[in-house]
Amino acid sequence: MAGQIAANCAGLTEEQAVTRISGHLHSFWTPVMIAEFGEFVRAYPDDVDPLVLCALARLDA
Amino acid sequence: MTLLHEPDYGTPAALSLARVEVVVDGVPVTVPAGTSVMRAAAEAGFDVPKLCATDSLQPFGSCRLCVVEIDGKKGTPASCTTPCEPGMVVRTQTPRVTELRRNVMELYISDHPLDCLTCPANGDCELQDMAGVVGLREVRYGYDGANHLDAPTDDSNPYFSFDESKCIACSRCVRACDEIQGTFALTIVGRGFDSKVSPGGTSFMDSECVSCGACVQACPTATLEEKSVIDLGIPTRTVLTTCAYCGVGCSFKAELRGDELVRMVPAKDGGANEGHSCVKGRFAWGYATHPDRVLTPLIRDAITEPWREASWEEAIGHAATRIRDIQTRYGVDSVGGITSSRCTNEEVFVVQKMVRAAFGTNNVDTCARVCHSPTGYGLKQTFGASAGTQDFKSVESADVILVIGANPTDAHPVFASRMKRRLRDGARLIIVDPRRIDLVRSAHITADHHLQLQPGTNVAVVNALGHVIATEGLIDRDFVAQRCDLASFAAWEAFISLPENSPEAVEAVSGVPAEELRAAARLYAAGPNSAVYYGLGVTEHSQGSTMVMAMANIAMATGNIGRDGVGINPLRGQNNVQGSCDMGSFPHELPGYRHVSDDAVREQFEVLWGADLRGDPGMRIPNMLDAALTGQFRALFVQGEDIAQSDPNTQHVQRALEAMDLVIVQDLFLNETARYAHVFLPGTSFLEKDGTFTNAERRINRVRPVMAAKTGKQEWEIICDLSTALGYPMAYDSSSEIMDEVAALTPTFAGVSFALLDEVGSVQWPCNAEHPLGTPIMHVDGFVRGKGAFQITAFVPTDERSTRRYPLLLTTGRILSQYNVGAQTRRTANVAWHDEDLLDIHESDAEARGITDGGWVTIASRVGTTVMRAQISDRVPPGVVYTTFHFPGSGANVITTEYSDWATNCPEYKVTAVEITPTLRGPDALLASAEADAGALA
Repeated sequence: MAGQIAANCAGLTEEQAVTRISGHLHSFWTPVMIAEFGEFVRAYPDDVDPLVLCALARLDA
Repeated sequence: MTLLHEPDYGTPAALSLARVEVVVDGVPVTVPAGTSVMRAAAEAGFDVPKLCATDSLQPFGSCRLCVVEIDGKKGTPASCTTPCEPGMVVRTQTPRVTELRRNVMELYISDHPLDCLTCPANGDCELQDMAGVVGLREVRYGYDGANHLDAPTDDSNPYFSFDESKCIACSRCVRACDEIQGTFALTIVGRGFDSKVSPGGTSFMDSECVSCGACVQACPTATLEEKSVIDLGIPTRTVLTTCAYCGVGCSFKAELRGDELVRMVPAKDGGANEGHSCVKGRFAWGYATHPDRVLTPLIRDAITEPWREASWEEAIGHAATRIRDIQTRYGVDSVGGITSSRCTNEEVFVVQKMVRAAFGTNNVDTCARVCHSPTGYGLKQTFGASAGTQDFKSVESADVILVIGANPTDAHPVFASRMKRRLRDGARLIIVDPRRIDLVRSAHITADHHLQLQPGTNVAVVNALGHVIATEGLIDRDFVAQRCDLASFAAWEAFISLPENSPEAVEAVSGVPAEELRAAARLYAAGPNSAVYYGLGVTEHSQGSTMVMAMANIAMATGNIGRDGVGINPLRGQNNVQGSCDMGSFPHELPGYRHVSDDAVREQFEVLWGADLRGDPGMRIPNMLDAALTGQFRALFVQGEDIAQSDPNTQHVQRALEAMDLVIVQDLFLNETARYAHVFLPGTSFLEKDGTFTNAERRINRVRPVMAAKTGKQEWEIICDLSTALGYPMAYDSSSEIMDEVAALTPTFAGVSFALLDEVGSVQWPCNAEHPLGTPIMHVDGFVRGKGAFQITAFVPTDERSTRRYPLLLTTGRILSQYNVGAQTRRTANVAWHDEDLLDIHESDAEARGITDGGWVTIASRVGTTVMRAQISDRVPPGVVYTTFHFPGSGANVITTEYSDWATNCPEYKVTAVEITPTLRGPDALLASAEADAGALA
């Protein structure tokens, strides 16, 4: 799902895309979904779009 | 005819601002220029006798009953077709016209059955009334001459009868079918004495008649009469209420004898429908008293056990105990609820309140998830409000109408009739749809452009329109400068002007010729008033939200927002899906579309509700189902929603429901979802409800109880009882109190109350101090968010592609006579028109596969397989197949996939790669075969 969100940021600047993705996760994902996704990212970072990684980092901050 | 005689002024109101003064029977009266003499007389308090005239139709001048004398004019002109002139002196009651009217009536009665005392229209017949009004005392012609008394009766339509012997050939029915409905199914055949009404030389049932009832409503005699009136008699009382089918939200007069509903008649002053109806609302209400209705609570410990009846106290106590047990064991978020888009605002409000305050979670969602959730997202991002911008009446001022992914003649028929009137009056039409829907080419209407795109390429096509607008100097820069965020506009203009968005680049992927795209874009931009109307063909895609934003972009770019005749108009499918969203049936938003994390807003609710509320978003329906399969989500309350039939990937939904420990269903019937339920709480039909619905134009209408709740409880009372049993007391004295609470908490509803609605009929939100009578047109002086925000809408092709194994693309939709999953309409006589879902397939695709018209076919996707009958059709292009989803047996969602909109998870129902193969076995044979196989293995 996060990958699909990132794919639909085509045409945005990197900052705009990261803002959109992090905003989406914050607005629509439950804490459990974010936590589980974080575990997946830690386990398989190469399988995750770099924009999504930035967005997650922003959420954690 | 109708029991509650609303004033009938004989001819439609004139709209001119200029005024004309005339004198009628000595009384001066001032009327708009263009007003007929008949209407001026009526407004002065003088009713001129009439039979062929009625104010819902243009004047016709055929019955000659309305003749008057006018000073300075020769003869006795028909008052219905004579416009008022300044200084005109009219006399409606002179010896000359009185004699003429009696003579006319003599002629009518000489060829009319004299069975008034046994006629079903006795006491409700305009012919009878006019005979009395004109003072008819004898018929000098006698009754032995040639006549039509032996003319046959056409009983083919399940809902109304056409008794030719009683017809006075006033042509009201023909004109109603033409002017109001726009189907043109009726005509007058023959000449002179042989003239008669005909539904195209065949029976009503075999004709193009869509059974909207407009002809029945218009008929002044018993010629066209509801069969329910013939059987039960004339109604004796009326209750004003609102239809519970589609998002048009027609106002109806429920006409009863005692507590027995006799007929539903569209209300003339209904804001959404103005006296018109469709076959569903007008006639298909019998499901409310169908024997399949469950009226008693049911419980069982396991879904493999039979149901047993229980008292309300036992069922609710059992449900509450189980919910708490599950939460104790698996956590507070292991439970959730789904609200109904068919129930009232008040009923939905209390369900989401129960979930938040009593369950203690934000795991609440609604069926908008699977239909118009992208509308809410997309319009909020661009305009700041999650709803359409116009009222239905706005289409009357449109010069160019762009219909995208919608089939209004089937799914929103009463609104479609309005649209067709405007199109017949000269508005231009652009249709974007893979199928040749009825609007492309119908009576007196031909689309200027039918952009017959490949499913899944919506965004590319609208981007191409935007590209033309941007690169050919068609942007309304004054509007953009005044009303829009300039930074976002600049970014969008640069993006949309890229070559990849050009019609020439888009042609290859969409299948729409570049010159067609350019012509359509130029037409839309030219307006001057251009309006977009769209449906689930926009939203039910992996880029549904992107598409909504793309449409909003071109509307802003061309200045088509903020006045009559323009706008972005989502044709919302269900009677209260708008209301369900407004009432906060979302895991991330409280009522009024405020995010749950907004501390200030949440505190208002906490104070009034006396409960701590969560500030983190809860689960959407797809999340709940996924979490059920991992064991994290264990209990679900489902109000008026059949997710086992309506949601995509049926097998996934079924597995998820099976995995849950507790499923509570509150509904009218034991539906597909109830197969997996442990508690069934019987609900009420719209005829028993007391509350409000909000339609697609944000119009809040009253729903009034026509009969007492057959279950003994209103649905909101059930929820209050359940909430109280859970330890969160909830109680109201009436549903009006619930709306008062909504108004107290929701700024856009602040002025709404039952008292206001009873006074003014309906209001469109926002309704508050700033707009005390509501807001027909939004974003007039500014967008809700301030400045309109353009959004970058890059086309990202769906992952669902046709392959060698699944070379065809399936898309789905609705048909006029059935409704959604068919729970209501399948239990009415509407099955006469559509008793099974069929698969539309192009002749070339059928021939290549050896498929015959009417033959059984297997439809296979990568997700599942189902069986239907094929229908060879040229409405679909080669490579595309189409079906409806009204019958559970057809299993349309067995084959739809898990793909969904990136922003809202709205399922991508409209693009599924499939292969179709002929099969000799129908679904029953397949089931029998499966059972036999299972038996052999036992």
